[in-house]
Amino acid sequence: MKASGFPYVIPMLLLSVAFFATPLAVLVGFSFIGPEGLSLHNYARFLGDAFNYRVLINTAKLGLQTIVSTTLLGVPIALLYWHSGKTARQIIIFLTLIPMLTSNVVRTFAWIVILGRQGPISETFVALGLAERPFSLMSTELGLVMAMCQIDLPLIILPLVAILSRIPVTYTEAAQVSGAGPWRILVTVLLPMMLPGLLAGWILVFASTSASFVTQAVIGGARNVYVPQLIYREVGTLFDWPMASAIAVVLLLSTGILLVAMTMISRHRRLVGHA
Amino acid sequence: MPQASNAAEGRELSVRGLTHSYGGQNAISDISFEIKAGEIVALLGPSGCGKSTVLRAIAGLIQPKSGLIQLGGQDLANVSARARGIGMVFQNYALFPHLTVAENIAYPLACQKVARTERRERVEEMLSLVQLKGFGNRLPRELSGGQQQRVAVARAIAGRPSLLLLDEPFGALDRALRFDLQVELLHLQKTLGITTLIVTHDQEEAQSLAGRLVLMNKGNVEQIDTPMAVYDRPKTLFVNTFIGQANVLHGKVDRLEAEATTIALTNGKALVLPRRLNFTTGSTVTITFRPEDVRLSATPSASALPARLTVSVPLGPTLVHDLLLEDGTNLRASEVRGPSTFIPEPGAQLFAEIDTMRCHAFPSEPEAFRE
Amino acid sequence: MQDFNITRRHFGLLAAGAAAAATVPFAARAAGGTAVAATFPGNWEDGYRSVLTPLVKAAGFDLTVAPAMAQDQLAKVMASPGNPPYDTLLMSPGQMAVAVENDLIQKIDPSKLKNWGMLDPAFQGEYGPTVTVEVNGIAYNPDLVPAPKGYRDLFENPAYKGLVSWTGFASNTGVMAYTEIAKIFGSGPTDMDAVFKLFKDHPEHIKGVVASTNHQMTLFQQGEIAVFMCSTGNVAKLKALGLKAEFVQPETGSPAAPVNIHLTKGAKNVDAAYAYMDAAISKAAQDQLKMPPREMFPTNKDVELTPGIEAYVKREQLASLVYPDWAAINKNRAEWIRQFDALVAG
Repeated sequence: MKASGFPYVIPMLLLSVAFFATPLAVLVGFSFIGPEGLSLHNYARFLGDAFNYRVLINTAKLGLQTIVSTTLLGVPIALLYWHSGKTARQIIIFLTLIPMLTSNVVRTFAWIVILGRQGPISETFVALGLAERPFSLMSTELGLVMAMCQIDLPLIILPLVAILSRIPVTYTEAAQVSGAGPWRILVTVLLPMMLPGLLAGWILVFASTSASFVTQAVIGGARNVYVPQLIYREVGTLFDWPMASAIAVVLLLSTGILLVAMTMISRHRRLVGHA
Repeated sequence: MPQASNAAEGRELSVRGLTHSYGGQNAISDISFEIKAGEIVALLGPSGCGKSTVLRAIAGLIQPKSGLIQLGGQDLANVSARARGIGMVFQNYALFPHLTVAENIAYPLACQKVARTERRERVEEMLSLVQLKGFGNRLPRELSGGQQQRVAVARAIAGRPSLLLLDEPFGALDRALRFDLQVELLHLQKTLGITTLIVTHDQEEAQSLAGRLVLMNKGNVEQIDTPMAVYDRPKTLFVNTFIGQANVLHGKVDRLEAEATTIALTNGKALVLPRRLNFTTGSTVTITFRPEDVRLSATPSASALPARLTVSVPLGPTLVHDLLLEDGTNLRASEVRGPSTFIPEPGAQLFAEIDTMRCHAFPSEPEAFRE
Repeated sequence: MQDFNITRRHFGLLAAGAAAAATVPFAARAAGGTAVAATFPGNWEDGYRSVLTPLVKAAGFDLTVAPAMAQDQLAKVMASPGNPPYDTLLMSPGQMAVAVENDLIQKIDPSKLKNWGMLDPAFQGEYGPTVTVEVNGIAYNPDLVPAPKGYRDLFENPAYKGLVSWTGFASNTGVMAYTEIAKIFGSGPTDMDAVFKLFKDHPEHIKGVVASTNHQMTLFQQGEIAVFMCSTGNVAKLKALGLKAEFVQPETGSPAAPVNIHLTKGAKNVDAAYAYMDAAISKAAQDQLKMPPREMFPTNKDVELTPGIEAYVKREQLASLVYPDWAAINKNRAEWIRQFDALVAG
C-alpha cells in the first residue's frame, strides 16, 4: 500500500466514531422503539399530529426569517469592512466577534430587558409617538428574530468578510468603467461574488437558529414553540425518549436536507472557482 | 477597411499638468501628453513610476489632485467613471467569474440599456471580432489566458468607447502568445480606429504597439516620442538606459574644440567625441553607447579600450559579448552573426572600438542638481 | 491489505471501548464522603448550600449541592439507571410517584436519622423525610391590580385582563392550580377539558403562558405581568428583592405540596446522604431556613413559626390545605402537557 495521510486522521476518526457516530446511531436506534417492538410508530405519531407539523414549519420559518434579517444587516457591514482601512477593519472584526465571546444565556437575558415593556425599543417608540402605550416584544416571533439576528450576525459576517477580502477592487472598477452605477455593481457583481460566502453563512445561521433552545424558550415564550422545545419536553418532562429521538432525527434530517441543498447550490459552476 | 459601425469616433485625449499624491507623497507630478484621435500611445516606465495612477485618473477611478483631462475637447473633471464612455482592459482582465463570456461582453451594453436583441447581435459581433465564436457560454475560468485577454478586450470595446485604456494587457501571458495577441490587437485597433492608451513596463510591447511612447520615471514624464526616436535620441540618461541596452562610462570634460570634445574617462583612458558638447570644461559627464556601436578586435589601436571577454552569448541572429574593462567596468558589445564570425574564447584579451559618432553624453550629477 | 484489516478490527474495538468509557466518569465522581444532593435552583440551592453544608461537615461528611428542577432530576437519574448522578433527590409527591414507579429511589432507614422523631407522622415518609410544605396560591402586584379572591376572579374580573401569567402543565405549581380550576369550572380535578375550554374562551390568558415560574418572576420584576401562580417561597423571594408582591390564598383553598428528600437507588454515599437528610430536618437548619428570603415552612416540631410564615399558613391549618391526587395527575399529565402546548401555540 502506498503511503498516504490516512494514519494522521485516525485520532480524529476515533473521536468522531466514539463521540459522534456512536451516540448518533444510538439516537437513531432509540427512535424506532415503539410500544410493540421496533416500528415507525414515533415518526407516524409525530408527523401525524398537525401541531407538530406546524412546529416543524415554524422552526424552518424562524430559520429563514433570521437568515433574511442577518443577511440584510450583515451584507452592508461586510461591505463596509471591504471599503475600510486597516484599523477600521480590525474594529469591525472585533465588534463582530464580541457577541460570540458572550455566553448565549447572558445575551438572551439581555434581550429580555431590551424587548420588555420598559425596554429601550418600547420607550423609543412611545417617545417618538409611534406607539400609544408601552409594548412588549417578549414572547413574540418578531422579538425572537431580533434576538436571533444579533446572536447569529457574526456567523454571516465572518464568511462574507473572508470572501470579500479575496475579491480585488478591479472587479467593481471594471463594472464602473463599463457604466454600472453603485446599485448595479452591488446586484450584478458584488452579491453574486459574495454568494458562496452567503451560502456558508446561511447554513450556519439556519443550523444555529433552528437549534438554539435557550433563546427560543426564553424569548419565544410558551406561545412560540419550536422543535428543540418539543425535544426537551419529551426528554425532560414526559420522559418519552424514543419520541424525543424521533423528533431529533426529523430535525436533523430536515436541517440536513436544507444543508445539502445549499451545498449543491454552492457547487454550481458559476459559483466555483472564485470562492 | 474602416468599419464605422464598430466604434464611436475615436476622440483625442489631452492630459495637462496632472498631479496626484497618496498620503502626502506625490505619485505623479505635472504629467502632460496628448493622444490624437485614433492613435495608439504607450505609457512606458518601470513599476512604481506612476503610470497606473495616470491611467486610473483618466478612467475616473481616482480624483487627481490637480490637472486637466480632456476627451474630445470635453473636460472630464466632473464626469464620473461610469459616464466617461471609456473602455478599459485591466491587468488581470477582471472578468466577472460568475458571468459567461457572452454575459461579460454584454455587461457594458446592459449598463447602456441596449435592447436585448441588439445586445445579442453585438456580443456575437464582438466574439467573431476577437475570434472566440462559440465560446459565448463558457465561464472565464474555462478559458486559456490568451482567450481571457481577448474577452477582456471584447468587453472593453463592446460599448463603443471613444477611448480604450489597457493596463499591462499582456503581462500575464507567456512570451510566445504575447506577440500574436499584440499583432491581433494592433489589427483590431486599426480596424476600429479607436484612440488607445496602453500602460506597460515592457518596452518591446510598447514599441511594437504604439506609434508614440510616453516615458515615465518617478512620477515624471521623461520623453515623449516615437519608438525609434526614443531609442536613437534619448533625452535623458534614464530613457537611454531604460530603452534598449546601453553601456555607461563616467568621465570629465577635458577639452572642448569646435568639432570635438575630449572626455577623460575615470579609468585613465580618453574618448574623443566628434562634436562639441554643451558642457563646460571640467564637468563630470556620463557617456553612453549601444552594444551594437562597439566593435571588437584582437589588435590594439590608439582609440580602442582594452577589455577581457567574460562570455559570449548567441541570441538568434546576433552575438552578444560581455566584457570587463581594466578598471572592472562592464562593457557589452553585439554583432550580427555570420557564417564566418569568429567567436573568441572567454578570457581572451580584446580591444573595444567605440563608435563615437553615436555616443550620448549626459550630466553625471543627480537630477535634482540639473534644474 | 492484511495490515489494514487488523487495523480495522482494532479500530472497532477501540471505538466500542471509547463509547463504553463515555458512560463511566460519573461513577468515579462522588467517591469519598461527599453526598451529592439535588435541590431546586435559586432559593433552595442558596439556602441548602449555606445552611446545610456546615452541619453535614460537622457530622464528618461533605456536601455537594447540585441545582436541578424536580423534572430534570428525574430525567437525569433515568438517563443512567443504577448509576445515579445524585445521592439524594428533592421533590414533591408528584415526581416521587414517578420515581417510585421507575424504581429510582429506595426506602430509608429512619433509625439512621437522629431528628426523625421531631417530625410529625405526616412528614415521616417511608421514602424520606418531608423538609417543608410548599403552600401555593396567587402572587399579585398590589400597585397594578386588586387582590384576587381566587382563580375564578382572574378570569371574570376585567381588572386582570392581560396581566395574568400561567405556566404549562410541566410545572407542579401550574398543575396544582389547574386541578383547582378544573374543580371550579368543570366536573372535578381531572376535568381538564373544562380548563382548556376556559383558556380558549379567554385568549388573553393564553398570551400570558410562559415556560416556568422562574421566568414569571423575571417578568414580574420587569412589570410585564401582575399576577402568577406561586408558592409562598416565590413571594418571599420577590419581597426580599424589594418588589411589591403579595400572596393570596384562593377562596377555594391553597394547594400544597410537601417537599421530600429521597435516597436514590444505587446511591454511592449512603452515610453522607443520611447525614444530609438529618441536617435538613434539624432544628438548627430549619431555624435558619424559615427566615426571609426563604421562609420555608418548618417541618420540625421544635421550630417556631415566624410571624411572616404564620401570615401565610399556621401549623394547625396544614391539614386543611388542598393536597392534589398525584396518582390521577400523573396518569394524565403527559396528555395534558401536549394538549396545552398545542393550545397555547395556537
